[in-house]
Amino acid sequence: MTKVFVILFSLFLGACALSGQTGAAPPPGDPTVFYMFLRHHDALAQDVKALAATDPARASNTQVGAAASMNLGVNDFMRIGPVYQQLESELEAVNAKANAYRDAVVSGSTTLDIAIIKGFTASRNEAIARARARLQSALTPAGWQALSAYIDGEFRNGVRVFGRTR
Amino acid sequence: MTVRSVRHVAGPFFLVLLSVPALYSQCADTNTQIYTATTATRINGNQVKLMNQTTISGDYSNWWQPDSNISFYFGSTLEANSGWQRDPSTGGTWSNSYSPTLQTYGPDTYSITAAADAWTTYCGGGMYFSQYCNLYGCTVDPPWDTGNAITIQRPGRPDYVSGATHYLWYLGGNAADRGYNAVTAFAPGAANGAPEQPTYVIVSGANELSLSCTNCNYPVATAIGWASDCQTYDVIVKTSYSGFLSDAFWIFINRPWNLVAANDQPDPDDGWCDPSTGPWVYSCALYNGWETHVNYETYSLCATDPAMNNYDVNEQFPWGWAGDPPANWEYGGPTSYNVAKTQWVDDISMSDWGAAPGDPATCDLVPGVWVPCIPSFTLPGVGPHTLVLQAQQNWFVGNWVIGSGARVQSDALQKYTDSGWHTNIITPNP
Repeated sequence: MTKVFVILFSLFLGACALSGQTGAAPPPGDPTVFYMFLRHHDALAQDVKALAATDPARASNTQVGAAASMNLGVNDFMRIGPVYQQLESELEAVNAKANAYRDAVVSGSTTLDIAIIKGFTASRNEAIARARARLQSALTPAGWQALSAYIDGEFRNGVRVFGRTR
Repeated sequence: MTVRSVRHVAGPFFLVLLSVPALYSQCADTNTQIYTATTATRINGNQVKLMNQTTISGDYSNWWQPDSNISFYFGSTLEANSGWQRDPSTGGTWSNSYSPTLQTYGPDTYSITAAADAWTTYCGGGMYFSQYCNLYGCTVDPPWDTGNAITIQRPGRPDYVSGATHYLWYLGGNAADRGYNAVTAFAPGAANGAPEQPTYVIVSGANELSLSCTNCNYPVATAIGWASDCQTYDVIVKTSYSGFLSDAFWIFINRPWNLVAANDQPDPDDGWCDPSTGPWVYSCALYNGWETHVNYETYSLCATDPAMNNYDVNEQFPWGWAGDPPANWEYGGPTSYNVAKTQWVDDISMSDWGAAPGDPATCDLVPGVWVPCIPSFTLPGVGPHTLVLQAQQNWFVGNWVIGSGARVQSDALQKYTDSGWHTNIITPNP
């Protein structure tokens, strides 16, 4: 009986190990994916900014390349930054409250209320949803269509999600 | 940077923590998830950005610090590894990247692999999300690895613009001469994913080729020099995409190189003096004097190629004529010819137009003032054979303008009492 259990457990671990290398892409429209995309854009924009001081021609080429990588023209590419900056400040405000609440829970000064932390999650997702709407307004219709396809297509396919099952 | 030699020791935790799930269950729920994104982006013609972001989302995101370990592979070779690195704050996103330069590594596949995790100190002691996840079952068993890759091809070589000449000749500064061209135009090759307009780079042979522009798509290319030998492609032009160089475009620049003595041939304009297959230098009687043909063909750097045809040739007398007093022969200026075939003639003569053989030789060194020639010229073969005038003579090919083109020979042009001659010949003489 013990031997059978060991064999079955080994098979289970093996199956887990095989599946563990791949993970799953999140569904289209996932707010965290949208937020990660904005950070990805910001990283590329920072590269452009850093180059601009030393090598303007290369900075210009990099901006063209970075925009092209997400199926955008340069003008639409440049409209994304302000949307990210505003979202980042909104998320910082939510996180500050969430951190304070966590510290209170951990210190024992308050009891964990799942509804409160779910409220923080909701606030974050709402901020991201607003940013998404702002971005749609900021971009040209063609730019938004191209960018949406990129975010929910190529970019999302590079994202993997891991978590608990119970 | 935190480097851990042992990761994901889920087994022991699994056994220990099963007995105290209540303590740890407040650190995550099924909404708490690690997101890890890897991107491989061509940010300009010469650079890719291999980036990973790891973030933790959901209800307990503020309990965790994202943690990742990324590697950069060129082909199958590990080029760099970050080790495990952690966001110093909770609830944020940890980003890490490599931005290799393509000209440094070359064309191949650029890959990033990333292992993602998160760390917390708010769960009754430090622990990893992967360990915690193992207590409750994981959507995917750790390690949580992701990856992305981009395959880079070197840009294609530039080439001649369609319809432009594909064979360049150095013509001594002339852009074109009948069937020969010193000017062409280039077009970039396939960008192969490079987003920007390329710049042209003459990697070697800048003394042989000039470009009208480098930061443009279709530069005009002009031969300003010539190859070191026949079929020696010593000009190399590449396009640069922010420093990533294309495949090489090798160019051979030919030129008119030397004169070779040719047999005299019948000339429709001068047939009376031409035998069917005469010698290199052939003289015949002209009125009361003589005419001498000195016959040549022009060859390029490629000696085994056929002689050039359909081009212009011109002569130059850089220091004029010289004769010992009391010689009083008049002398003409240099001339140009169009060589319609391959063979051409330096036509040297001394006679009085319309005079009969045996008439006295008259000269007008002072134009219009006719006096007896000193010495008197004669019919060919009638002595004496005395040198009267001499001029340094340069021969140029590729231009109608006197003294312009590619010099192929220098010699001394001589006028004797009964014939002409070329001596002290130096060919090639660029």
